[in-house]
Amino acid sequence: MNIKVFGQLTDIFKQENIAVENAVDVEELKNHLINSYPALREKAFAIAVNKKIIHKNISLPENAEIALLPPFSGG
Amino acid sequence: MKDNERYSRQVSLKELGETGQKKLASAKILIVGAGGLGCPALLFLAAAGVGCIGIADDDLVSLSNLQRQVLFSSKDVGKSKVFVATEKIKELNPYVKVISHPERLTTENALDVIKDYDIVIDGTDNFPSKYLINDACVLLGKTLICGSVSKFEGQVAVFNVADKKNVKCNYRDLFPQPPEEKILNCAEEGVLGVTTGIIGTMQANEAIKLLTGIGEPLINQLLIFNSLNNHSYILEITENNESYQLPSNESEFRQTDYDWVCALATGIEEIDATQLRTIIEENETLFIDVREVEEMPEVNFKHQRIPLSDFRNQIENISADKIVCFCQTGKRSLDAARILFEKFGETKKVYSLKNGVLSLHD
Repeated sequence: MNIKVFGQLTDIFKQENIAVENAVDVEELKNHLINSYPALREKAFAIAVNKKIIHKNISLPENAEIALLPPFSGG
Repeated sequence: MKDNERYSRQVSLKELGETGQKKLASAKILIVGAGGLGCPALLFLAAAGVGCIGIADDDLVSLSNLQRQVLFSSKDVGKSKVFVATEKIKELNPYVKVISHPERLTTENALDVIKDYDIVIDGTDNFPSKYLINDACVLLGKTLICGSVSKFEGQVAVFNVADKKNVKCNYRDLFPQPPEEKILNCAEEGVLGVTTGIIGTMQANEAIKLLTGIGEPLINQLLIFNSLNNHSYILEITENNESYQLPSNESEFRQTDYDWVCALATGIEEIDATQLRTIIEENETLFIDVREVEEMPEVNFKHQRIPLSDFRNQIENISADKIVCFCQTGKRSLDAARILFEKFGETKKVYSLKNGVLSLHD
């Protein structure tokens, strides 16, 4: 499953795209990511599954495209 | 139309035409923040013939602004951004009615300022303003075009406009609450002028599309643009009614403390009377009373008085690395702390006394 990261989150992941093992749902994916990248726990970000922002735990289709999106404040 | 030749290149676009031009001429747009995003948006909207443009900003032009805030020249440093922007826009297009709002939008004035406009363009650079403007636009049912940048990336979105399913989303459907951790702004992490230029221009483009009814505005969508690799990513935003509560009326809005909800996010620390006494004993901190000169009661520890009304002009020479601002109730000191933080970023530690001098005499 491919994960796109934006903004300051790229400092944690060191890249804009990472591949991870398929997860059953968003919660499992989040836990897996926080285990691998503990700094993520402190960060605020929205999650999109197949280019749609989600607000609760949903099951993830196989090979879903995930995006992690922090708020930007610069202007 | 008094000035046909001026708009001839865009009127000849069949999608826009005379009809579109008339719609632009009768539109009223408020631009909040005459900075890296606001300057290009202002220039293009005024050039395109938007009939009435409001500009809200309380800041002065500084030298470090000129690299991206393209309305301003070297000779403008130290002048009011709104004043200079208004003059420049009048020179560019005298048919545009420009309304100056030389103030920061607050819970006190935001609704009164915004209510007269059709579209609000958010070009601010901090979360307190972004949440405050969002909530005010939801309350008043105004179209909001958000923009923001982080290093080489930018975000643009259009809110409070019904999509085909009659759904209206707002910024809180994307990010329900202000982040608790600190998010860096341009002053701290750096930004290229072209990046804010692109995003501010995209905001102007969305406004023109919405007003003239052409193309596909980013309604309930978020565009993320990366200027390093030119990748664009568009996400669909859906309603998220469970994770946040908006002020439901004017008086609730006026009572919401946006500075407090965002204080952590901007790196300013609020301290109480007990913490203040500890810091006083440490003896290495500059204490600034930001109340006006005649305001009482006096405090009994060593301090300087720099009234908030003249604060920006007097902070150039502050050399202390640790600063505590205080006022009567803790509101103005938070404004002052924010000004210091905007200017000095992480290089100084800035505190604001919560509940102000009045909390010291209990």
